[in-house]
Amino acid sequence: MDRVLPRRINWPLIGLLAPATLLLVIIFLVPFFQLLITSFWTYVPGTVLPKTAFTFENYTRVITDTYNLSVYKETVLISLLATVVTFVLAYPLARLIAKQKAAVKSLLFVLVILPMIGGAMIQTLGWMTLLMRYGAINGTLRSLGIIHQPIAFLGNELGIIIGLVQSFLPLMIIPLVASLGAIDESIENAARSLGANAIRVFFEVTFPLSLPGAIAGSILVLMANLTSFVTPSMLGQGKIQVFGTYAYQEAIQVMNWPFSSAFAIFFIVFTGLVALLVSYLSRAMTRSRIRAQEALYE
Amino acid sequence: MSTKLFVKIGTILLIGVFFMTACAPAATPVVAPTNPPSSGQATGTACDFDPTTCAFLAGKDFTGQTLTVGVWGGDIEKILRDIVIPPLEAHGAKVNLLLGGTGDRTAKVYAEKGNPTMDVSYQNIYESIQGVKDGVFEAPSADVPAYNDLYPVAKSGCYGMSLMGLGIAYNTDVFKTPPQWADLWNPEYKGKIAFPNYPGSEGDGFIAIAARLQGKDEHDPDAAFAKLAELKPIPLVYTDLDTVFTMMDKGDIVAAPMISGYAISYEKKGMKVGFSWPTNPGPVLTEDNLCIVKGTKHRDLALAWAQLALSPKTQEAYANRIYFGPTNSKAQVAPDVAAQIVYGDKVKSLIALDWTYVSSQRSTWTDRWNKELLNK
Repeated sequence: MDRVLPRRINWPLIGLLAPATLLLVIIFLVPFFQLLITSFWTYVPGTVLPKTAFTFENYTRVITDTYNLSVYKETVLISLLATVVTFVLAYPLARLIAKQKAAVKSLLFVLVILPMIGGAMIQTLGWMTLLMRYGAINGTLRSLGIIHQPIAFLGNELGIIIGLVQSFLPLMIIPLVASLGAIDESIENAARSLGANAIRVFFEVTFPLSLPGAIAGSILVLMANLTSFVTPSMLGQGKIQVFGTYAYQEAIQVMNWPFSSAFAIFFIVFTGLVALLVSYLSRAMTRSRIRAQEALYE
Repeated sequence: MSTKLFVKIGTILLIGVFFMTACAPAATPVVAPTNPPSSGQATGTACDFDPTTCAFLAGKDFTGQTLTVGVWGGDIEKILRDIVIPPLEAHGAKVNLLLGGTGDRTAKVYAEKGNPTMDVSYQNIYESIQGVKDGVFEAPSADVPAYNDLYPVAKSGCYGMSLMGLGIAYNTDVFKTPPQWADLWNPEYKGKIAFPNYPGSEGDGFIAIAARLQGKDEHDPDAAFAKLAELKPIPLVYTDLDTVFTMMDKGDIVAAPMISGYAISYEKKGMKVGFSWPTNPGPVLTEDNLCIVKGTKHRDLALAWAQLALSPKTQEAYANRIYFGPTNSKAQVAPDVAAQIVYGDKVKSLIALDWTYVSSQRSTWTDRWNKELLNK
């Protein structure tokens, strides 16, 4: 090891890393510790200025308050559903893109990514006008005689899920295309030549080989869903409370900074744990699959 | 993926971005101000404000100073750009408007307490009362000459800027005559009364009204929340006016508690909506405030801003253009506009809430609002 890692301090490397490190410390670490400290302070009703008296009360409320628990349940449910729908919609599209020639592939890629340039706000405003009670979708369905009463898309979970799926579809498609594009076509052909039908080829060859991309995409999208703010606050019309909207209400509207800090810390830890759990499960899944296959061929 | 592919994607994306940026200004509808900008300020010598304001500004030189003002975007911003900013620029000042909501501004002034980067901040009534108490805003004083002309009610927080009443917006097909608060509880309209977003002045006012209908007031939140819960299910929590007035026009919502003046532009578009000034109990007073941030490095310029903003001329523009009632007793308003705004004797008929108490309850009430009204 000593030969590979010289004991000398690598000054040029430190010099190159310093600006980014300093920036991260200032814009991320310092506020984070401020947040951590504030989360143990005491809220004084009627003022924004908290007392610096130490308390665990904020965390007690975060974990035990029944309303908070219903917010967590709602957030997780919406996020999971939106992730599943995103996956189901993204997979065939990713497969289609992966099969194209380079030129077509890049064009399709651009089309997939293009909506992200506008940002969440613009996209959500678009959805609002489409999904409104008297918006384009309800209007079309009604004039075609398919429905008689407008469908309520806004102010409920349905609208939020539609908005989330559209916003984060690219996050699922990109890793899936990378994964699917890396599959050697001769493997699929080999399976087919050995008599497997299309369904069997897909479930036993293609899908397992695309798992790394599927898992990466799902984690990305799940995290984005859990932490989303603009989409649920606009499409939920103040009636659906999720992590983001609740944090906003407590921090910016109620100005209860100690509680919202505790909530934010909980939120960071929670999403971190979810990410760890998902990646652990997926690794365990892959390992057991490999072991099963090895057992098969022994 | 190959490098070549990346280069290709990058190029196409760049072209896309360029295309979108090039198109963006054209795609954004440019809304012209409702009235042409007032003239006469271009030269910097003429002063077409009242004598007090002109005397206060005379001889002042703000060259090299930049005033940072936090305020709502939209109609209010337009009035400020038309009327308040030109005379200050004529005296050499630069003005930087920070547009946004009062929550962001409150967070900013508290975070920067003692060393503010914002000089003037527009706040709602309860934030200004608390901010003065917490030492982030200056208490109002005759350092701004217009202070002497303000109604007493406009001196309770910072400088009262506009007076509004929380009344009832309603569908004119459903209510042939302007409804009273109690009419919203008619069982026929169950599930058709929109709620305001909470926390906010509208929600506080609605809580206070509900308590009064029970013979109590805002100090009895139990009575208020029990009464409000009778209106469930809530069809809409309105966060923007377009949605609530469209649904009201179509009859999906029959009424909603609403700040005076907001309904008028929708009424003028031909929507079937109207605004009621209820009398039993009366509307709840709400008030926008102009706050000078304590410790501002441009205090003289901030005082000049306040004087211009509180002058009869600016206050009359608020009344005529966006139907916000003036706080300056010297502002003159035509009778047809006066009927639509909080003005003259109407000022006394409005219910003033115990804002200090309401502020102290905000966290608890938000919790109750979430749990008892919004939760299914």
